[in-house]
Amino acid sequence: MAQKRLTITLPGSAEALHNALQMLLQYGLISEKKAHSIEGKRKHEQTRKKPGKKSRWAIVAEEMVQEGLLRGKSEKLLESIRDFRDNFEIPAPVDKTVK
Amino acid sequence: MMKYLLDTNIPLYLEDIDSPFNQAVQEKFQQLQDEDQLFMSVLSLFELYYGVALRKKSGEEQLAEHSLQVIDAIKKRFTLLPLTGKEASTFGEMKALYKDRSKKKENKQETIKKHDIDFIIASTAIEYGLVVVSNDTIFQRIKELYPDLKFENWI
Repeated sequence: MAQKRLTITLPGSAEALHNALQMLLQYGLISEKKAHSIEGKRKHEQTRKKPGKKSRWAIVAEEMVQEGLLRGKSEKLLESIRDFRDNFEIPAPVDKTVK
Repeated sequence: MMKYLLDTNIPLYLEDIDSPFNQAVQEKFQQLQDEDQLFMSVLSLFELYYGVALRKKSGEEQLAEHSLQVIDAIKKRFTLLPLTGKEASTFGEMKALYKDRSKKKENKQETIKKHDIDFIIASTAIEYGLVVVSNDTIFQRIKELYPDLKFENWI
């Protein structure tokens, strides 16, 4: 008997792809080995397609460094933060037992 | 995908090119993937606004203004986590454990009370399944007592 071939368009993001593969695994539509292979292949393709592409977090870091709002002043701000933390306290419960 | 809870010192180092810690934080950000998520506690805003008020009071208008801009930069780029009350029970356990351990080590009561914000940040991270990122060694000490806490120092 001829085997039916299932064609699925897999999602682009790594997380969505992982979830889709997990679902296929759960329903026995794909082997674990195949799932690993697809994930690995996609990862490799994405790395290959975008050589030197900066992640959004690398861009965030660059932007913040360029802003340079606190040149030499971060320690001063951190002192006030430590002061805030040193003086912040959630009081211990009061014993209201009548003696 | 990794999810991190940045302590207040991390974005401050990024905004300070002259900080000895700037480069290390930059490099770590460069290693992050697009799908990684970065959060901050709303408590960071409380303490930053406190810093703004102190600077204004002491006549340091420029630093106050820059601090306000840092707050805007943080709000724009990171997801702020509110306190929901879910973290309260972890906080309670953590503080009691720390207090007990400190007494055994004969530390003064003072050392316990100054860490309430750190305990709240740590318990928020546990509640949301996040890794705390800080240059403050208190989180390593909390982790030793409370292994559920995930902590990284990127410096």
